[in-house]
Amino acid sequence: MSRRTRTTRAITAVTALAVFGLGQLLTAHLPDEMTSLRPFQTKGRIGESVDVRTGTVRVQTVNGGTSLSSPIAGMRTSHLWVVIAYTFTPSRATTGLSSLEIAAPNGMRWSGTESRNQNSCTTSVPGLPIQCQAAIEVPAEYIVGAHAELAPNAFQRQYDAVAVIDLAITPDVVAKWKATPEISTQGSTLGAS
Amino acid sequence: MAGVSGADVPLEPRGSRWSRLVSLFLGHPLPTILVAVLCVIAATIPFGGLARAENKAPKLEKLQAGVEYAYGPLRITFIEAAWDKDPQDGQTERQIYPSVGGAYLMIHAKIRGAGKSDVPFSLLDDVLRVHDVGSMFADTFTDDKLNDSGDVIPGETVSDEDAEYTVINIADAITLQSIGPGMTYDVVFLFNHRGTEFPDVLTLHTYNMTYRASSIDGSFDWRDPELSGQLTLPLKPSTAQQERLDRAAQRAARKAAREQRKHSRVHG
Repeated sequence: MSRRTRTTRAITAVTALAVFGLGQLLTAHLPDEMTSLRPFQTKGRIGESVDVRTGTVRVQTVNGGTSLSSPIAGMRTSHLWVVIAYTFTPSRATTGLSSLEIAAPNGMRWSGTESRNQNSCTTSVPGLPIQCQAAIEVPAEYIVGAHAELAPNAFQRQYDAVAVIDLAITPDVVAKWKATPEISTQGSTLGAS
Repeated sequence: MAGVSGADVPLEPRGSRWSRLVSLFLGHPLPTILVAVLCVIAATIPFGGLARAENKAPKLEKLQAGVEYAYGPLRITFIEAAWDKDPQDGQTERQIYPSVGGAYLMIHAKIRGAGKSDVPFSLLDDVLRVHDVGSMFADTFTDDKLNDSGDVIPGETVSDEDAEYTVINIADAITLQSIGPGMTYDVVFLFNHRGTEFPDVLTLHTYNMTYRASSIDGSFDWRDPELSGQLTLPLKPSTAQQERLDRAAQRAARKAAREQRKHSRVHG
């Protein structure tokens, strides 16, 4: 084997190793699929307006009780019903807001569209606010410190804007809600509150 | 030019008939493959390669009432079974109406969501089936109907394995389509049955499912229910139904007594 051949082979081997190393480096540092698909979250508090791409949302009140009286049915629970009243104002097109979830600090999530839960939010034209209400049944022992996540689309939250609102739920609040026998929802209406 | 004499030509070795046959076979690919396959089959014979395959029934876990069992993120504790023609008799906020032409089969249970997200309908809806009952309506709200002429239009009945139920929250008699994480409910799995002839012992089958992606659209869900457990429970009329049966029996007895007295006066 000539010296030139040996040199060529050595360079090939070193280049191959360098390419493998570079690939590993890129794999380790580039964002994975879950990271690249994550929603754009904006944090807020009760009473603050938060932009969610298709409009602005503002959580107005959060209440709880052990039974729910709604236009659909009366529902009792051995846990708690949490009713979130919020305003959504479309910014560019006629739309509503269809996704609301409560997320606990331990990772548990309760959706406003699953089980017996209700998220009542009609559609409106740009600039005209909608009064919306969501009623979600939750276990009292897990919801201290929980927050709400509101998003334009219930089925596709990747890449999208999500408002993350601290619900200010403390042990005292939970105790008060446990002592409240009934809470009601009125559905969704148009116009400012 | 020197010729080649016959004595100089090397003679081909004359093998046996078997060696010629082997040479013939090994010279062509197809026979070679066949021989190889036969050799593999022959090699499996000592390990049961030719044993008759048994069509084994799935191994059923014997379940007990009062014990919590896991089905993915869903936990179920079965309590008791009963039947009733009108489970919400006397209720003002009625959600369930009397079964026409039959009676409801009710399996009382406690259910719990043990995961971080909802127990979906796909899991809640396929975890349980009745066994060896017969005359099951297709689902909870299928029963016989009366048309405008007063004729009975029979509701569809299906095999036990195909009979579907509704999960009803006992506290308010409202249907549960799914349950949230950490939630517990006292429920009845409510089936509908034509007629009121029930066995004294009810056999239930439970199914485990696999959480996997759909081969069509890639969406994840609980799929492929597989029979996994069997539970037997005493089956009797509910307390309210038994009271109705007792009252009906007393009325029939009083009527029979009246008839008897009338008969005695006429012929006596």
